[in-house]
Amino acid sequence: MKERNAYIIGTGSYLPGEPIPFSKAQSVLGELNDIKPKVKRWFDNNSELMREMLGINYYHYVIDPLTGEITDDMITMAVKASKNALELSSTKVDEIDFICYASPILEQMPTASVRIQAELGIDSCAEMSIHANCTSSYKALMVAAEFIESGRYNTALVVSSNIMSGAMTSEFYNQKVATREDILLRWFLCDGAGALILSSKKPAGRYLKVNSTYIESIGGNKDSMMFNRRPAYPYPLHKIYDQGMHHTAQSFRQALNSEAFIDPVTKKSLMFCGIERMLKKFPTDVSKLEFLQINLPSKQVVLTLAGELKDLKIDADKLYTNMAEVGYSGPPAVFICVDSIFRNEDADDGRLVISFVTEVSKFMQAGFVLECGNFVKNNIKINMELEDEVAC
Amino acid sequence: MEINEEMTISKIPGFVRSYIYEDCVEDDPELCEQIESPNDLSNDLNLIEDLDGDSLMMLSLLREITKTFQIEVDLDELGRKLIHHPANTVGEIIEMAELLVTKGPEAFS
Repeated sequence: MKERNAYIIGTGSYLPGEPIPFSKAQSVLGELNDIKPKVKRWFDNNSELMREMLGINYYHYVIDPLTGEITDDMITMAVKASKNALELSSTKVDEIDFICYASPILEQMPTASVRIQAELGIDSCAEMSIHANCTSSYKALMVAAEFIESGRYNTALVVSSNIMSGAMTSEFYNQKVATREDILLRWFLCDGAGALILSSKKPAGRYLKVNSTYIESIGGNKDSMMFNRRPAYPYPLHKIYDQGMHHTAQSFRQALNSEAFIDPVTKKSLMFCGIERMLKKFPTDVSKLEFLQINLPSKQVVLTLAGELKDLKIDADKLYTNMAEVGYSGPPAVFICVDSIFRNEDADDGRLVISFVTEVSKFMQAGFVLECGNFVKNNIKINMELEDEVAC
Repeated sequence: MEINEEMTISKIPGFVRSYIYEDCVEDDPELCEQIESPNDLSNDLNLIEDLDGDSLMMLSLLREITKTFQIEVDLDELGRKLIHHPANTVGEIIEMAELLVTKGPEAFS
């Protein structure tokens, strides 16, 4: 039940290190010299093709390219992105009464959300950690927005961070058992963090009103296409390593003739069908669309999908991405993109931002629709004054 | 693999077989025992199921063909076409390569 609106009043992101060009990425991650020759040849032969397909020119890693030292962790990156968002929205940390953190599964105890809370110096608030891959950030936004809309909380920090590089280095893999699927993601993923500040109060300055959030899981009868092989119980670490259970693998071998990505009834892509369902559940005037983020780390797939979206009267020229310059960091990528829109773009009141993602780990999909307010030039840092808004 | 710039269409089957052999067989001891040379790659062998290949290899191969024959096809267009016109066996891949060379971007229309 929506008692009031939720507004994104500030955004922040953090990208570790200097941008690493595509051509240098493998040397930063470490060359895979002990991998099977066939896998090595495959990787080397297809690098140029992947560069063209992905459209990623630069990556960001927490790995120092000169020393190999780790410069950040999931918490420090999340905190830096959060501070950027807090600063932009002129929100004091003691105003935050809910933190929702999104990331792939973490092994630390206590969980990340409370460690972020502690690092920000918040003595008491509500918190929650949500773990999935690329849909986790959408789920965190959904939870925070609904909590604000229901009146449960007033000011929320929604933050996501991800370090994929650590799981793709030459020393992380057991190279002797690593397969093509195990190393494929070295081309796709990198590190970063993004944060949003949500408020129940409509700001005097720039904002994005959360019109709708959406999640679905449509892979109940589908095989997982992104996975590790760890069992669902604590397992001896040496056995995990010996068998390469810790590798994050992506199935792709039949990608070109697989039905996995196609809806069997409509013959459209699963993502198209998901967007269609989202817009049906939450009717949206797509003629007001200003920025469309298709949250996938492949230019080729995004362009293919954009062609389909004509059926929904969505033009490909609305596509918005900063992936070529900042890489794709998984869960936080969507917030990093929203941060770019919030800080750099202009739009008339009422124009829309739509984002959608497919997570192939088990075919979960998620999206949201945001509405621009006060998105005029040079009004970025005037969110100091907030207006109380009564229930809508 | 060295690409012969003077390659003619009649040499496409040999080119495709050599490419598949290098990528799939040469570094695979088990397959090497069964398939001694590119000429042993029969048309009915399935790239993925029989030769431990993958979609990326096929796309990469066709990309090389388009470069060699200076056929202007965007990579995303090529990928889209392949999704709707899958080629699974060595013979089907050779047919697709020949079609691409003779008809250019119209090959899959």
